Order: sequence, then structure tokens, then C-alpha cells
Amino acid sequence: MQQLILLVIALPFLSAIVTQLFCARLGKRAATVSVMSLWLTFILACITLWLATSDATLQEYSLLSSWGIIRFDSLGTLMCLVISAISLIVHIYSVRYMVEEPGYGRFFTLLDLMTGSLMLMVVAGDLITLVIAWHLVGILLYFLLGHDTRSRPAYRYAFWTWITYRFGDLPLILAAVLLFQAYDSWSLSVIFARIAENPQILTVFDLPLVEMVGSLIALAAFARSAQFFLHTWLPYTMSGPTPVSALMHAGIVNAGGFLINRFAPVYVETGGVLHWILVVGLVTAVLGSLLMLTQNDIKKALGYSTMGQMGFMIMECGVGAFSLAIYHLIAHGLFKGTMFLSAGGVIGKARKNDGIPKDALYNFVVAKRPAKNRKPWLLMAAMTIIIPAVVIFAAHWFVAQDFMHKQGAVILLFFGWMAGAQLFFVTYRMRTKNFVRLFTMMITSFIIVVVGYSYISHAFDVFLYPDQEFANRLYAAASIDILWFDAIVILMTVTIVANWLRTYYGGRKGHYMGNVYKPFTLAFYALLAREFYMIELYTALVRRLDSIATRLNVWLRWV
Amino acid sequence: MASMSLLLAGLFLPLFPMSIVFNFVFQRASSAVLRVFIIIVWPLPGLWLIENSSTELVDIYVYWALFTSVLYGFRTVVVKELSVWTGFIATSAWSLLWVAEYLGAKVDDLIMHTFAYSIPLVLLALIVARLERQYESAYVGVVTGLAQEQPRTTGLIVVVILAVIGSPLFPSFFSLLSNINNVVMVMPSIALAIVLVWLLWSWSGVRLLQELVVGDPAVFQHDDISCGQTMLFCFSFVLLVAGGLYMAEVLL
Repeated sequence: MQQLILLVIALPFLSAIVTQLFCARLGKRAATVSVMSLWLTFILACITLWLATSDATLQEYSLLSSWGIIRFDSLGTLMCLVISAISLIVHIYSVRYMVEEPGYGRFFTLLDLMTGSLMLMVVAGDLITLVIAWHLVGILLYFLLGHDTRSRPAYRYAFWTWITYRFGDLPLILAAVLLFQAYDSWSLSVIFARIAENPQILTVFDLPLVEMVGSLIALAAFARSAQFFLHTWLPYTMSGPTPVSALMHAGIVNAGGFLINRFAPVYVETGGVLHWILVVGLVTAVLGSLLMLTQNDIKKALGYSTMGQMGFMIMECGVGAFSLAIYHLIAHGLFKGTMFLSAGGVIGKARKNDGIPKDALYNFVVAKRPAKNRKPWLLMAAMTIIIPAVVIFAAHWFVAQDFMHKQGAVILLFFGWMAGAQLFFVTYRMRTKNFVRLFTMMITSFIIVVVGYSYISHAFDVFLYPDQEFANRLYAAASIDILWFDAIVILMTVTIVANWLRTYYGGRKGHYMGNVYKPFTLAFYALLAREFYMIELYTALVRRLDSIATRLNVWLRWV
Repeated sequence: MASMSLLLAGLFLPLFPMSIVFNFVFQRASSAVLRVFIIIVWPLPGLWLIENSSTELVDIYVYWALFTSVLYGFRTVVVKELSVWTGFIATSAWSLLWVAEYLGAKVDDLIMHTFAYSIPLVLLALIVARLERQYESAYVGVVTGLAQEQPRTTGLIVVVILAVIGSPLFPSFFSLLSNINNVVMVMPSIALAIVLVWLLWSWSGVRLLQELVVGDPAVFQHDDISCGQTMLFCFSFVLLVAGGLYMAEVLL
């Protein structure tokens, strides 16, 4: 079993070496070597996951004396399978997509190295190996994004990615050395065991170690997963090859969620860190989604969509739903990867025929013509609010009856209810001849999605965190005072329902936005359109630093 | 007398403003052999002086060294001339040896730290000398689009710069990691300063790289480095990585 997991990690690296050494001789066949090795990696990853499901005990294999440990556990094997699957698809896609590009062999070498580094990151059993793999991913992404060495814009934005990732690497290094100093081992298993025995250790500045380390790891995860303030690289890195965008959005950017999961034994002992992880995730989810809606450039919109999704994933960690974050990153990886890889084909077809049916959805979304003859708004408002709530609560109650005792679960249900209600609201505004049929279909599909989601997330919980007590403690670590929690939930519910009713009522009267809000709305829209002036802010900062450095050099005569 | 020897050490393990002397000498050295010699030999008297100093290193020297390291790391951000960049990075890196000495590193370990920073710089100096011969300058405003024109040389420069700026598996990575690990509990502010230096190196290294490598090739084409020389460089990279792994075993 140990040899198998080692082979899974080693194969992409071996493939990279072979591809690079023989690319001149192999020519376009270099890709075949790379794809074949990825097929083999994928098959082996499937076997290791199957083995992990049959035997959940943690196994480790050490390559060096104090580090170089490979960790064979459920999280690592699951992520290995996901990475190999996405990477395989990207490899196959790239065989034809990149064939006209210069540096064909180099591209596959870098892809293989990236796959190997990602796999090493997820199975790293010690802090040094984890830091090395984490760091390597950033370096390789820079060179993949800048594959076209003629393109200055590609490198300019690749540089943004590089510097943000480096900014994120350093907190991880600090967290690693703090953990080593406290527990005298690089091994994650040993550290986690010692944290469980003695979590109350103080570290630098007499701060609690787990809080400090948890914050540093969260910072590293934020940079990798494009959380607000560290997100600007993500929407702008579209100048790289499409397969790289797919790999980045489907896999690499999700690493933040993985990292937080890996350090779950640290977070379970923390008090307030998960709360601010929730806040950062929430802010990123909301702002990412808003920014996506205001973009004219579809690629940037996709970038901001990923940012919003990453915010949601981090938010899930912040509420204690760690396993759900893993499910989210896998689901998001698959659908976002599909979107990127099919984007070229869709654009090509759209040039001949836009293929948009002029139906109810078109009328509503594109032509922005709401239905004239609709059901009574009060009835629809009631259905909008009640039906999603009933479906979501019932589905979760069937899966796990104690689910409602966890605050994190209630927050996620709240989001589910909001999304479901919004869907119903949109349906209400659509023009259709057979409204009952439309509505029935929508409720049916909604139930399937919610029930499926509930069961899968529950299965992930059981697989990744079989110790139910540990999973409950994670939720407990993320919880806040019950009075405050209830007050916030009630306030949020009232605000959202009041706004829906206002919008329904406005729809009935024929106006959606009162003049009172117009200046505020326009100002906010302008702010969104300029992406909160973040680019300008960072550019001004860099120019200022450049200017100071140049003055210093001139003053010191360049010696 | 002891203070004098430490101040003299500040000339060889450069402390600002004495670092100006090293950079002046290094930039005036025109031949590759001389530059390689300077990079290898210059810090050694400094190591000898601080090792044989009769007094303990006081905090002020560590802060002074860190100031020098940050200053030169910051100054490299806008440097576009490869030889100047090499000198600045050497200054920034060697200043960190004061931290290792302050933390009580053994002589063998100090020499290992020194070579961890110096050997990649030696390789860089060799490549820069070749570029200067070809272009009669290694100013990246003049040399651009190198990847199109000289792919093998570009590959070597990329790996060398990654080695210089402390990328994983190269000795400088483990040296920096070891320094941070040793200092973080004793003087956390120093650990943060080393992290800042690391970030500045990364920033300036990649900036320099993309100015040099990216873009359309120059009008006048030059020959790429030979396959034999490329193999020699690759072999030295393998040795560097092996050295890095050895360092990790010893220091971590």
C-alpha cells in the first residue's frame, strides 16, 4: 500500500523528467508519454482511495530521517484522486489545444511537475515537505501562466500570482517553525497528537500557540484561495493558456480549503480563529459574486465567480463544516474546469449561431422582460419563502437529525434557503404558458439537488472525519454565544424577507428601485465596476516602493 | 580590539555602509574568474573574524545586519543590471550570516550557510559574464526576449535565479528556513525581518527574470550556450539540490 501511494506521487515527476529529456527526440509524442503516465497515476489513485475506504487507519512512510514523510489517509487519497482526474482531463485536452504552440514539450513537463507537486502537497506528512510542495506549486504556476514567453501581459499577471503566493507561503513557514519549536517534531501526526494532549501552550509574545498557528495557516490559505484583499491576481490571470486556467480554477486555487482541513486538529482547539475565517470567507463570497455580476469581460466574470466560490468554501471552514468544504472544492473544481475547457468550443459555435432559445428564460435574463400575467404576488412570496425552507430542513433532518444543533449547519441551511428562494423568485418573474408545470419541475429538481447534496456531504463527513466527536468539536469551535447567534440569524432573515417583499411589491406596482436609493445604488455600482479600486491601490503602492528604491540607489550610486 | 575585529568583519560579511566597498569592487571586476573568486572568497575572512572574536556578538550587530539585508533586498527590486543585482543579493544574503553566528551556529554550519548563498551566485556570475560578452552589456533593458533567442541559456538563468532567491530544495531555502526556525522563539522580530528579506528576493528575482526573458527577441541573434556546458550546469544544479537535502538533514 505504501509503495502504491509513493508510485502515485512519483509517476508525474518521472514523466516530467522523461518528457523534458526526450522532448527534442520525441517531438509531439512527448505528450503521449505524459498522458499515459497520468492515466496510470489516475488508476493507481483510484486503487489507493479504494484501499483507504476499506481501511481508514493512518499509515505513513518516511523517506528521510526527520522529514520527507508521506501520509496515507482519507483526505490525502481523496485529494490525490481529484487532482489526478482533473490533471488527466487537462492533459488530454492540451494534447491538441497546445499542439501549435511553441514549447510543447516544456508545457507537458510543467504540467507533470505541477501534478506531482500538488499530489506531494496533499500527502505531505510533515511540515517541511508540506512547505516545499506548497512553495513549488506557486513557482510552477508562475511558469505555466507565462508559458508564452512573448506575451508581456501574461507574465505581468503571472507576476501578480507569484507575489501573492509568496506572500501566502511565508505565514505557512512561520506556522511550521512555531509548531516545531513547540512540539519538537516536523511530523504532522506527532504534532497533532501532542496538540491534543497539550493545546494550551503559549508561543511568541505570550500568545496561545493554536490561535497564532491557526491564524497564520488561515492567512496562507487566503492568499492561495484568492480571499478579499489577496484576490486581484485571480481575475487577471486569463492570459495564460486555457488548460492552465482550467487547472488553476479547478484545482490549485482550492488548496486553501485543503490546507485548513489538513490542520483541522489545530483548529479544533482554537477559540476565535474560525470566526474571522468565516467573516473573510463571507465577505469574499459576497463581493466576489457582486464583482462577477458587474463585469463586461466574461473571463474576468469567471475569475470573480471562482473568487466567490472560494469565499464560500472558506466560509464553510469558518462555520466548522470542514468536510463540506472539501466536497465544495471538488464540485467547484469539476464544474469550473468544464466551463473553462468548453469555453473555446462555445465561443466558436456562438460566432456562427448564438444558440440562445428565445424562451421565458431569455425574455427574463437577456431581454429583461418580466412576465405580465403572473400568479398573485402574495401567494408567490409565501411559496418563495416557505417551500425552500421546508425542502432543505426536511432533507437534512432525514440525513442527520442532530444536524440542527450545530450553528454552522444552521448558517449553511440559511444560505441554501436564500439560494432556493431566489430561484423561486426568478421563476415567478418568468413568462410561461404553463406555470404549474414549470413550477413543479423546478421544485422536483430543487429537491433532487438538496437531497443529493445533503447525502453526499454527510458521506464526506463520515469518510473524512469518522470520529463523530471530533467533527462535533469542530462545529463547537466555530460556534458563538447562542443569544448573539439567534439575534444575527433573525436580523438577517427579517432583512432578506423584507427586501424580497419590497421587490415583489415593487414588481406589482411596476417599479423596482425607488428614487431614494438611486444615487447610492449608482455610486455602489461604480465602485463595483472599478473593482473597489484595488488594482489602482496596489499599482500606486508598487510605484511608490519602486520610486523609493530608485532614489535610494541613485543616492547610494548603485553600490 | 574585539570591536575593531567585528567592524572589520562587517567589511567582509557586509554591513552598511561598509557594504559599499564590496559592491564597488565586485562591479569593477570585469572578468568572470575574478567575480567568481570574489564571491567565493570575500565572506571567508569575515567568518574567521567573527568566529575568532573574543567578545560575544551583541544584539546591535544582528539588527545592523538585518537592516543591511533588508536595505539591499529592497534596492534589488528596481535593479536591471545583472552584475549589480548579483552584488546586491550577495550583500543581502551574507548579512544574514550574522544572525546564524548570533544563534550560535558551529563553524561548519556557518560555512555551509555561506556556500548555500554563494554557489548559486557563482553560477549566476558565470552566465552573466557570458551574456556580457555577447551583448557587451547585461542590462536587461538591452537584453530582452532571451527565451526566444537562447532557450538553453534562459532555462539556466531561470533555475539559477530560483536557487538564488531561496526556492525549495536549493540550499538557500534550507538556510533561510533554518535561520527562521532557530530565531523565531528567541527574537520573533528577526524572524519576521528574514521573512521580509525572502519576500524581497522573490519579488526582485522574478521581476528581473521576466524583464530579461520575456518579449520579442533582439534584432541581432546570438548563439545559445552549448549542450555540453548546459549539461555541466545541470549537473551543478543536481549537486546543489543534493547539497540542499544534506543541509536540511544537518540543520533541521
